[in-house]
Amino acid sequence: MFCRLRTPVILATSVEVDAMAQYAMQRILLALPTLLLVSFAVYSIVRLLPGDAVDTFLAQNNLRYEGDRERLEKDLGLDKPIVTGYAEWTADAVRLDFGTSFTLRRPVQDLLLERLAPTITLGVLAVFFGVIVGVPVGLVAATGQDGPMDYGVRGFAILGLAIPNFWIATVVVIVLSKELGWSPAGKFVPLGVDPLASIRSLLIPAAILGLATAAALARFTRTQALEVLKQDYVRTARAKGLRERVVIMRHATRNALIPVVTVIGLQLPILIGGSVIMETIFSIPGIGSLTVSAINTRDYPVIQMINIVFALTVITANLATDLCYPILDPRIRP
Amino acid sequence: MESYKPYWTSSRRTSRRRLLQGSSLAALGTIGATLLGCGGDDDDAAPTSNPDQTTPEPTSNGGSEPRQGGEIVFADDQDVGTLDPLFSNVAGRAILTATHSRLVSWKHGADVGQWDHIIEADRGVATDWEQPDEQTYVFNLKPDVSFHDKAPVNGRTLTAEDVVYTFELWRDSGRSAQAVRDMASVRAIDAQTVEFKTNSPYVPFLQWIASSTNVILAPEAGNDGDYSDLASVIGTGPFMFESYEPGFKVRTVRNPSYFVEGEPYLDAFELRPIPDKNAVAAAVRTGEVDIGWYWWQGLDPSLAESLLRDNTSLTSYDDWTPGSPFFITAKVDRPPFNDPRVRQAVSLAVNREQWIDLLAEGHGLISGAAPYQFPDKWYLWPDDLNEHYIRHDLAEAKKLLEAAGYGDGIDINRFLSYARGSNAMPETELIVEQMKQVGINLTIDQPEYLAMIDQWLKGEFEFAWTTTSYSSDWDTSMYGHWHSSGFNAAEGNRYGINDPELDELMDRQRVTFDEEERTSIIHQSQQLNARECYMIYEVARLQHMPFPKDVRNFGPHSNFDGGGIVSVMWRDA
Repeated sequence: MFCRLRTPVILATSVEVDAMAQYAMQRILLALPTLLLVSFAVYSIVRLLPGDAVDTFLAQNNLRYEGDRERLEKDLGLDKPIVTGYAEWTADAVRLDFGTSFTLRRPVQDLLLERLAPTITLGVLAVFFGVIVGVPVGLVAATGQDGPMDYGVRGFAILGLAIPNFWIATVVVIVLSKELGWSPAGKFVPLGVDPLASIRSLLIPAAILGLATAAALARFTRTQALEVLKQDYVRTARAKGLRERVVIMRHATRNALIPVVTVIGLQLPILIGGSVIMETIFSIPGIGSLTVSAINTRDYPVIQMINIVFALTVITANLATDLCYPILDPRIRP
Repeated sequence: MESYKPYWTSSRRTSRRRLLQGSSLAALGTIGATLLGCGGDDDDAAPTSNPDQTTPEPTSNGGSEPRQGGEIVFADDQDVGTLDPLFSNVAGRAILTATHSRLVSWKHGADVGQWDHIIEADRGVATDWEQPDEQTYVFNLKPDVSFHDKAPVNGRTLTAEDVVYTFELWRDSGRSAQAVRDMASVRAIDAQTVEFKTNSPYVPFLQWIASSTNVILAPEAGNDGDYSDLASVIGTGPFMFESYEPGFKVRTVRNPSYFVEGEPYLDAFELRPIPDKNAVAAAVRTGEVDIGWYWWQGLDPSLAESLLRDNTSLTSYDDWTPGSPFFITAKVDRPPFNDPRVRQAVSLAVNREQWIDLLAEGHGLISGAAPYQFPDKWYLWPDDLNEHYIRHDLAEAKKLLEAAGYGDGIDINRFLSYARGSNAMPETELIVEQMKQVGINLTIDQPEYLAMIDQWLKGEFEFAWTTTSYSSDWDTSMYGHWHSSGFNAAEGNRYGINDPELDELMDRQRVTFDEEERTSIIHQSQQLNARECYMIYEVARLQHMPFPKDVRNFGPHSNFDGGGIVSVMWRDA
């Protein structure tokens, strides 16, 4: 077992590659009924909620409750039964026509394409921040168990998880503007305009968003690393006279990271879903803020599409996580 | 070989010393956090309400000569979403009033009060107008008004047909104001003359024509009445649409062919959505944004004072405003609130001074029997009312409830706080506490936002804390709320007010063209509400609107005429 762990896993056989490809294909095919189920559930549940887009128009424009309601319902296609409406929506979706936003009057796919990039970039940066801070810090804590560094990391982890990110964001915005005369809000640059400037404009909100991820990963990595460091093969490696750094990096880390990868993989959908607060405070035109306004106005086409996107993100993240395992541990095969 | 014990199950004894050290640290930390958190203001003086009921003069900020150049950036709390005039929101209207003109518009500037809806010909496409009879309006158009030089309109001259097209589109879309939809007809008498006829005499008709929603459109700019494409944003306004980055900003630039000579003074006007109050304050503090979204509702005094302290290049426009005018009401067509004594008791139970102290940071004015608006025209203060219950008197309130048969108290299970986007929970909770003092026990019914709207539209509540919109005329503000026929309007009478005397007054004021007589009728309606307490209004709060000192002629306005406000502004440097 010890020798197998040292074997570079990149040298997988063609049989193993075929098996992984087949596994990936199966998972992709399974995604289709999942998406169908999610889309129907969202389509029907959101229409059962009290209030609809017509109420938004009536209230915003002080229209007539009787007289205008029927006309607006017909205009928006809200007079159809749920099953009929869903069948029509599915038929259109197959042709990649996801409808027009009730309130923004634009094709839903255009809206989503505009808003997806900032949110995904924010989410990826947040995960990246969480990983590059949380994992090394957790490893350092584990190797210095019960030392000052360990206590520091554990304190950081507790604070990072306990303090709400919206509070941190608000304090950052206020302090930066008061002390440095610089406001990080409203600085977003679209990716298409200047990719580097866009990423720079998202660094602060991403760091704040990723703080909780870093805290969680630090704790989890520490726990896993402590577990692994007590294994027999690690003791053997030390007994062989290997330097501690080699023992940690070559033998312990990879095994400690297997469960950590699961956590990382699940963070991206969580962060994308939780980006609404950062998007609101920093005025980032992403999916999060679009989701909130769509729900508040019952903009059904937008809600539908956003949920499909979220479902796809979760499915993709899970698949990517599963495909990473064999790379880390050759014993694991799909 | 020693058996392996996972870290988390291995027993680790904690020494007494470690336990004492850890406990002491935890205790010190808690005490420290408590001291920090409970630190109060240095100023312990209790804030007092303003006993002076006169309307203060807004701070003037004009004084220099207009000059060309410079740009201005406003922030709004929402994104425009769409610049389709038929679907635009408040933010969208701020832009559309900059890129388009109306038939007539309001006067703007630092010397114009927030509530002054002075219709003038200067910035409308009409040069003047006549009213040959009570149901006919004839507008003569300026001959030199041209659309923006963009395809497919290509800078052509505006004609009467454009006005006719626009108003017929508004009427037929069903998304315009009631008055427009109730037009009997609109026609072009010739290329420069438009005639409107109304179904019945209607005094505020001209104010509706001036409304920020009624921007004049070019037929060929849209796609068979569909103006959702950004390429359709072509008007005759002082600014031309340049770009829209969704969720980030809308930018407009100076129209070199604008029909008002010399205007606009500014080269560009931008609007950015910054929903978070602290973020917009930060943006103003650092100069990223010139004027925050408080340009139509003001900032709380403490936040405004903080901005002015941190950025000495800012000054402030200060005025009394009710924000969005909130009021207490109830289902007055059924027990217990169909008894005026119960409604009067509610008014007496409201502690308005406490409201001012707790919610308005000590700066507020006790309102009369109408929302604080049109202070120099129609508004009556409590001292002007003959019989009212606008005071805090718990003993009197309890006597009234006893006399009405509710000495044992009233339990209300559906207290709806219909805040329409605002955070009204502090006020809602304060009302609950204040009503408890007289035995009226309210249970807050606060569903999710659109469920709340749905509930409101269906009239499903017993007691409510709700708001109304600003408007340009008494009738458009109050008719739907106070008249028995008002239920059908989304913002209308869901409270069951059915008072023949009030109906008669509301019907009469909308057809009385004599200003003095109309004012008298409006005053009578306020006297009636003061007596009957159908609606109990919140206090007017002092709001501050910080803006850069070099910006001149900034006059916030209660209507969302962003273009009108900006077109008369300039920057000194």
